This record gives sequence, C-alpha cells and structure tokens, in this order.
Amino acid sequence: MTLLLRIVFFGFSGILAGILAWPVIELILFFQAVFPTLLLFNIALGVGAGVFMGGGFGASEGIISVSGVKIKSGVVTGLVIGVVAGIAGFITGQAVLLFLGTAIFHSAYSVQRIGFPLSRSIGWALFGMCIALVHGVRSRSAGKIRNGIIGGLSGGFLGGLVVEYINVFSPDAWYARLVGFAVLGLLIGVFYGFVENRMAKASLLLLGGRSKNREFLLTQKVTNIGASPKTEVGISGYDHVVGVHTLITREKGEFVLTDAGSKAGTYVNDEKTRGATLKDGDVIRVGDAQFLFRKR
Amino acid sequence: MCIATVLLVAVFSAAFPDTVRISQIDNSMLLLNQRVRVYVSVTDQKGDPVPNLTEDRFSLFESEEQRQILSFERGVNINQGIKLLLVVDNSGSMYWDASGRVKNSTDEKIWRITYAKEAVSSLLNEIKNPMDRVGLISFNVKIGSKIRLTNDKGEIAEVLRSIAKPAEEEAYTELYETLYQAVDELRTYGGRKVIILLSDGQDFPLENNPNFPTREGIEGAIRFAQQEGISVFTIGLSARADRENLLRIAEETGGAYFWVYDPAQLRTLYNLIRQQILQEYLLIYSATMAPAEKKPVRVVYTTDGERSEAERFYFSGTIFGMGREKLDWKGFLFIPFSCALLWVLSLCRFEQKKALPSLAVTNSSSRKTQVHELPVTKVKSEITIGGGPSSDVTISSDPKIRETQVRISVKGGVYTISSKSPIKINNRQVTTKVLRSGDLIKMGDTHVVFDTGVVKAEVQKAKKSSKRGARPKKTSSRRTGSKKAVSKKGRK
Repeated sequence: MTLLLRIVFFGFSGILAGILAWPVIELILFFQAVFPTLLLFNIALGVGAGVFMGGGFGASEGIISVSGVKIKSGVVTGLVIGVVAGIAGFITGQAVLLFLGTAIFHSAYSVQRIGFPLSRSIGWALFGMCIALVHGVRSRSAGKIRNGIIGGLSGGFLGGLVVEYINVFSPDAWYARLVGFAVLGLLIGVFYGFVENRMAKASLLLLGGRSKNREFLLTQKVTNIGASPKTEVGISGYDHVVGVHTLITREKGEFVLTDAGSKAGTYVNDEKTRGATLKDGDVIRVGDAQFLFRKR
Repeated sequence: MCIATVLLVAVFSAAFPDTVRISQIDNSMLLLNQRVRVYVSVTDQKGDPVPNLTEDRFSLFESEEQRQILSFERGVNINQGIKLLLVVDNSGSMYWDASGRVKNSTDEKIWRITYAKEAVSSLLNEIKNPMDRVGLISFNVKIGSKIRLTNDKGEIAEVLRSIAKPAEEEAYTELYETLYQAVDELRTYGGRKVIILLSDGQDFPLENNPNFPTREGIEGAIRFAQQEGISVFTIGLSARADRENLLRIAEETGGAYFWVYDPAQLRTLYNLIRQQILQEYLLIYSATMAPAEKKPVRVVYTTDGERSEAERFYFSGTIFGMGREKLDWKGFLFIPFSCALLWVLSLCRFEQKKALPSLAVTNSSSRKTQVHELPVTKVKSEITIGGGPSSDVTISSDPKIRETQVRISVKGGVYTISSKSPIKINNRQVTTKVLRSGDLIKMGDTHVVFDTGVVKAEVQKAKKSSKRGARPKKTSSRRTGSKKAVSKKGRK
C-alpha cells in the first residue's frame, strides 16, 4: 500500500468511526433532560462517543496493516482508551465552553455572532483531541500522541465549525452533527496519517513478493520486523521469516538494525549481519523479504 | 423650590415598592455540582439596600420552573471593585438654568451642565478603591466623548472639562437610546456595574436619527439594564417635572434619584452604591437539565403583599448543542452500516495475488516506473537490459547506460544476471549473481527491481500459514515456472 493510499484509508475509517458514534450521541442528546446533572450528561456523551469512535480508530490501524489480530486488539484497547478519553474530552470541552460562553455572553453582540460558534468549536476540538489520543496511547508512542493532538484539535475544530455552518444555512438540519462527526473522524484519520508520514525520518519499502511496494514508516523508537502480526512491520507470505526477526532502533537520528537471533539471519546489502547502522539506500533482507531502507 | 422637590420625590416614591435586582449569576460550579449562584440586591425606593431579609421572601425560577433555594446567605461582600459609567447629557437644554426660564444666559454658573460637571468631580473624589473603574459618555443627538473604563481619574476630569456647548442642530437629546448604548457598553465588563446618568430628563429625539437606527425607548433601556443587572443612578438637573422619567429609570433598575442642587445628598451617592453591593444576598440552587443555550433565572421578592421580580439569563450551552425534538430510529441504521463498511475495508488486502516475474524500472530523476514482465520457461532463454534499441528492456531515458550492458538468463526458474563490467546489485559491485526476489539493480540513475512474482497457490498457502500463527513454512519461494509469459517487448 502506498503512503497516499494509507492516508486515504485512515481518513475513510475515521469517517466511519465518526458515523458510528453519531446515532448514540443523538440518543444521549435527546434524553438530556433526564440526566440529573450536567456532569453525568457529559460522562454519558464521553462513554458513547468513546466506545464507538475509539473502537473505530483502534480498528483502523489493524485494517491498514491487514491483520485480523491487530484489528481485534485495536478495537478492544481503542474502546477502553476511547471511553476514558471521551469522558475527559467532554468534561474539559464543556468546562472551557462554559467559561468562554459565559464571557462571550457578556460581550458585544457583534462578538457573540462569531464567539458562540467559535467557542463551541473549541469544545469540539478539545473532545477531538482527547479522542484522537487513542492512536497514540494505544501504541505508547510520544510521537503518535503528538500526531493525535494535532489531528484531533484541528479535526474537532473543523467538525464543530461545519456543524455551526450547516446550522446557519439550514437551521434544524438533521444531518448537521452527522456531517460534523464525519469531518471530525476524517480529519483525525487524515492528519494522523499525514503527520505520521511527515514525522517519520525513515521508511522501509518492500521490494518484492506478495506485498510488493508496501511502505512502512519508522515512526517509533523501536520497530520490530517479523511474521508476527503484532510487530510494527508485520509481513506475511514471505518464507524464512520468524515471529520477531529483526528490529530497528532509532538512536540520535541514526537507525540501527539488530538481528533478533533468527535462523535465516538478516542481511544488509547481501552481507549477513547481527547489527549494523543503516544508510540511505541500503537493501535489507529479512528471510525472503527484501526492503529498501530510505531516509527522509 | 427645595421643599417642592422633596414633596414630588415622595409622591413618586410611594408608587414603587422595593426593587429586587440580580447583580450576578455565577455558573462556574455548574459542571462540578450542578449549583448556580445568584447574587441578588434589594433596594428601597431611595436606593438604600434592604438588610436582614429572610429566605422566605424569595422564590426562584429557572426557565419558569420553580427551584428550591438550597443555600441562602446575607451580606455577601464581593470585592471585585465597582464599574461606574458616567453618562453626561450635553444637549441644548443643559445650557439653560435649573428652572428652565433662562435659556440664553452667557453666565456659565447658572448652566445645568456646570452643576453636572461639579457633581462628577465630587463623585470622582469619593472613589478611593483602586479596583474601581470609571468611564464616561457624553451625548446629545449622538454619543460624543467616550472614555472606556479606566482607573485614571485625571483622564475623566480632563474630558469632562472639554465638554462644550453643542451647535444648534446637534442640541437634541437622545436620552433613552444613549442609556441603552451605555448598558451595552457596560455589560461586557465583569463585577458590579452602575450607570450614573446626569441629565435634565428631557428626551428630545431627532426623527430618523441616523445615529440610532433602531429605537428602544425608555422601556427598552430599562429592561436592558435590568437584564444585565445594572443599576442606574440618576442625577436630575432640572427643577421641573422632567425628572419623572429619571425617577422611573432609577427605581425600576434598583438605583436612586438625586437632585444635583442638593450637595449633601449627592455626597452619599458613592457610599450608597457601595452599601448596595455589601448588602447583597446569595441564593444557591440546583440547575435544571432542560437543553437550552441560555436559561432565564427569575427571582421573585415579596414584601407586604407587593412583588418585585428580576430576570436574568446565564449561559448553559453544551458542546453538541440541542438534541433533536424527535428521535428517528432510522438514524441507528448508521451503526450496522458503518460496521459493515469497516468490515469490508478490513478485507481489502493490498497484495498481488498473482504476479509474473518482472523487472520494475524506475528512473530516479523522472520518478516514473515501468514494469517489464519476464518470460517463464523451462528452456533457457535470455533477455538484455541496456540503452540501445536492440535491448529487450530499453532504458532510453538514461544516457549513461551503454548498449546491451546486462543480460538476465533464465533456466528452470532460476534467474541469473551477468554483465561484462561490474554492476551494483544491492549496493554491491558484482559481475554475476543469482537473482532473488526484491534485488535492486542500479544502472546509472536507473533502479531496476527484480521480482520473482507470486503464484496463486503460494498465496493460499501463505494465508493458511498466517492463520495458524506466525510460523512460516520452509518452502522455497523459487518458482518452477509453468506459465507462458510474454515480455513487454513481445520477445520469447
């Protein structure tokens, strides 16, 4: 899968995650008056949005790595983190909205016209930020957490603006929030994919075989390569590759390859090695899979 | 004349009971414990705060639903400083004498404006709390000088001095519209807010005044001040009945009326404002959950069968806004719909199920890739790669490549590359090598990637093995070709 397709995939599964959460949110909003307090209402929204969006985002990485195991573990962890993040997102979003809204409420009417939609969008952005952390927290990567924050903030903000914009031009439109959620999901996904792409300092390109031309980004400090679907670079359909075959660690901008004690061994430029510092353009052989290492 | 005034005041005052005013609604605890704090001030007809009231005098409604007062406090002192906005009438009649009989005197001492300026000066002297802020607006047909709230009293005094007699055509008095604008100006500030209006009470509007396209009138101005919890203290400058409206404004907003020619009374003004704030009541209740962007809080105060009400809104918006009025079950179809699509997405495998052995030629400058399929035969065959037109795979875009430089021979599915001069394969200089899938051949600026391809049987086998777990099977990936392939150039 090329990098562009990868971003499209992240975006698309983000949209679906957003759409998934929408009916539940509408249900909770419909019953707002039933909740005893605003806090419980926001917790309910957080759980509702977190379960569905978190689950959806969790699945997306598995979908992209074409691994059933990763989808399952992604959904479960995404769900759990999503619930926690959702609650946190709604409470902070609501707190900020109450603060800003009250300030804007006592401001000039010209400020209010822009201020209210803007402050609600900020609420959306904070919620989006927390929900987007699912990706990062799941993989315990500081870089991915940062990606999540950027994607979630901008996606949430834009999603919120879209809702406000639709409400201006077509008041009482049933689909306003649906579109808002889709935009939120799309942007979290696309930004995640895009920023991940930008932040990766190196990549591995599969040169041949079943998944030929698939590109893997080395975003993490340690990248495992192997046949196990749990590895970051999980390759199936190549012979002589063991579960965790080789790992690449990032050390002060350099990428160091270490063989994980595999029988078939690891080769850099056709030379068997136990460990080597990689240069741009190196050809790495893991079992029967050959990769081109590229610095970016 | 003094006696007459006092009498008049008494007559008007009897018509009004005590006034209740909501000076602040604090919703900062709403998210935490659902509590809303309402600061209420009760004043009598003279503007004096009514102390020591009990809880049973008040009832509280939110969105027309009565709420129980959970906590009641007296004498809450909110030390936020006072925001005072002085609104000074500078219309033509301000240059008359107090009685309105002398209209064209050049003797500044008898002008109403002179008394107004003196009153402001003495008020400024009273203000000693450093947290207090004062602003000033002067008006006639339009709003003239305007100073935003400041703690620089010298600046106010300077502008006050600069207020001069308006030209004839500007001498109209847009009293109520200016008051409305003054409320709008002051509402953007926090804390306790007071307007001090110095006027002779004559609203003398200009028809179709372009400065005030919408007309709020006295009712509009009073309602706005009430809603924003702003009390308006009025200082009358006329000895005539014009003061009627100034009295009304003061009493309905919880302020007080003063007569400028009674300096002893005027000196108590600032102190009165302070007292009002020190004698506030705090009512705490639990908010309703009905969805709304803003909610009205109404406090009803009852005394001796008389009622006084005050209403004020607070912000109660939620991130996603209001829910729909009706819930459509069809919306829930989106859940299985997107689940199904996610499932379909998860089935997408970006793998080549079946691929023939090939050479992918990429020119690193143009970044264009051309794929040439290689023949799969049991008989020995050979193809050449080079720059000339006679090569099977021509790399014409690259001038550095000589004619027929490299040949790949195929025998029994084994591909061997050979070259007269050393070439770079996987970053190593070689002259011959048995190619494996994924080998990278560099020729000048051109990269050639060799791939043995995939056969269907192999894919299925790999699928099975990946299902069983991560253990790969030891089978050779080298293929025994069985299919006839045709190279791009149509050679055998």
